[in-house]
Amino acid sequence: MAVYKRTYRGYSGPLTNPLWRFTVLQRYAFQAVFKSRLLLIGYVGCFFGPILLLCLLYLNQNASVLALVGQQVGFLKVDSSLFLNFISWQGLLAGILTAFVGPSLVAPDLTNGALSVYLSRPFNRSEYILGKGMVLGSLIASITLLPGLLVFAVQSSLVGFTWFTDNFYLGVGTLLSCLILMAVFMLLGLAMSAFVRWKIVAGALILGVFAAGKGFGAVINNVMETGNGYFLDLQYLLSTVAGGLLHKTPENDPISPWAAAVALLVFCTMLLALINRKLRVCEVAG
Amino acid sequence: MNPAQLNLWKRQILAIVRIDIARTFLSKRGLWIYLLALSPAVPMIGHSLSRETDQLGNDAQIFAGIFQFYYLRIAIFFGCVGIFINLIRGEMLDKSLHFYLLGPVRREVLIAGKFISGLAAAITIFCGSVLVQWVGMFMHHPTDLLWAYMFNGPGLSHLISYLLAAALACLGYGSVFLWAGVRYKNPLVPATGILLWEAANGVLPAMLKKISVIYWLKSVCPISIPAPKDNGGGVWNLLIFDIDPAPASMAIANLLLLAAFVMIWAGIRARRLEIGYGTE
Repeated sequence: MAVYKRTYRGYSGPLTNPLWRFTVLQRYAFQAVFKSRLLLIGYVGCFFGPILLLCLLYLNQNASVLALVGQQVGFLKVDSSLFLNFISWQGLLAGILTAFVGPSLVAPDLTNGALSVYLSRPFNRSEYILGKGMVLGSLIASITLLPGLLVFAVQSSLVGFTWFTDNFYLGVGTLLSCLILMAVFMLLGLAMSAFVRWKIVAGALILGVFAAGKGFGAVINNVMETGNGYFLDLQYLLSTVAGGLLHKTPENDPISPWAAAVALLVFCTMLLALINRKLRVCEVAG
Repeated sequence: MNPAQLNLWKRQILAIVRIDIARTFLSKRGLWIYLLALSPAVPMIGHSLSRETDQLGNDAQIFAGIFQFYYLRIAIFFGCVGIFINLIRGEMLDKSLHFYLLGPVRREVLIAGKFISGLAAAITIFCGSVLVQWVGMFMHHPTDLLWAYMFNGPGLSHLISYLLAAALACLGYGSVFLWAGVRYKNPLVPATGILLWEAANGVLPAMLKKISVIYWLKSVCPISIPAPKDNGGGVWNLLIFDIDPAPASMAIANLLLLAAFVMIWAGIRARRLEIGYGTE
């Protein structure tokens, strides 16, 4: 019988560019996410609102069709309120999507001790977090950022270049609001998944952070007769920042957009610290 | 059905309750439920410590608002999600459910035992928190005024109504979430559906309003909270709604019937319960 010498030989195949290595994780995680038919249906359902809005924008400028239903051109006012409501609605859907997708990203790796397998590759923790986070990030961007910018582009093309230049802040505001929304949801999904490790409870906790924060903030405002409870209300903070970016800030708002942005920054830092603390492979002392 | 069999089932239920109750009360995983339940008490105690004189009527109104807006709809709802879904799915996670299923216990008896242990824990935690909140909210008022409010006024009956509403909320939501834990691999899907349905209760037609737990709970609450106008709450104002309340006795009977129906359904469904630890 022939005996072959079997010693370690390094991998000699093509290597993924280190800069884009995180996309490998994202690619495989995506496949796992869309195995659920219910989630896929829900995700497709998230595009119903944007498609409806795009149709309305088209009708809004189509005089012949509007004449048939007795309406005039411009019956729909396309301003910062419309964009803010659009982002709020899509943000609500993004929150629900995060509750369902987020927990399945990190929790199984931690429960089954797979993190060390990932990190034994030429792959560091930041890339792991980025790779897993981008699954959520790209899903959220596809239902908030892309439709938002598409709405802006379609309205600009229908009305003209003057509308585009006059309302350029709406496009920038939509872009920045959606990026902030994406960052918060991405970190929240990963942090809860790493913190609880049980998919169902992690999902409930993501929804609970919004609902309980809102309720507890209202309790503090009512009992203590203050407006500081809003700092616990994540949805309020996100709307305030988005309102500021879209030049739609109520006069008697108890929290300024800057204060809300700082509160969100503190919240994100806390989530990042939690992820950093939980995503540690076994450390040998000494 | 012979008495010996009934006696056996009773002993089996008690044994399950004894095992489970310690897990529900002392589990590290359930620590957040205590935080959720006791969270309104913190600002209420802060309110009492920061004020020397205040209108008792205002405090009663604030308490009613917090109880209906936050405690019933958020704290007890999510608390019951945590407690009751954990009873079956938590055992799956711990890979310990097969010990129960291998024992000579009927599945219906197992579900009944699990439900009673969860209910005991939920009622103790959430009704206990109502008492702490009540004390926290009113403790800064003069003793004679409090005495008059509690025993010569509506105070005691209000407190009993709140305790009853909290207990009924645990019963109603608990039975539904235990059923969801038995029926669905991912009970978060029905829990989200129920959350949205209960939240939309304010805008539903009168007939559909009654197909919810919150409608009957609001009927038990002693003070009606009017919907605020122009407070900037947006869609969240839907959580506060005026209803044409049903008589309290009918509300209690309906919630008991709902819990009984859902538990029987869960018991029948549990006969087909299979363990798939690998897929959890």
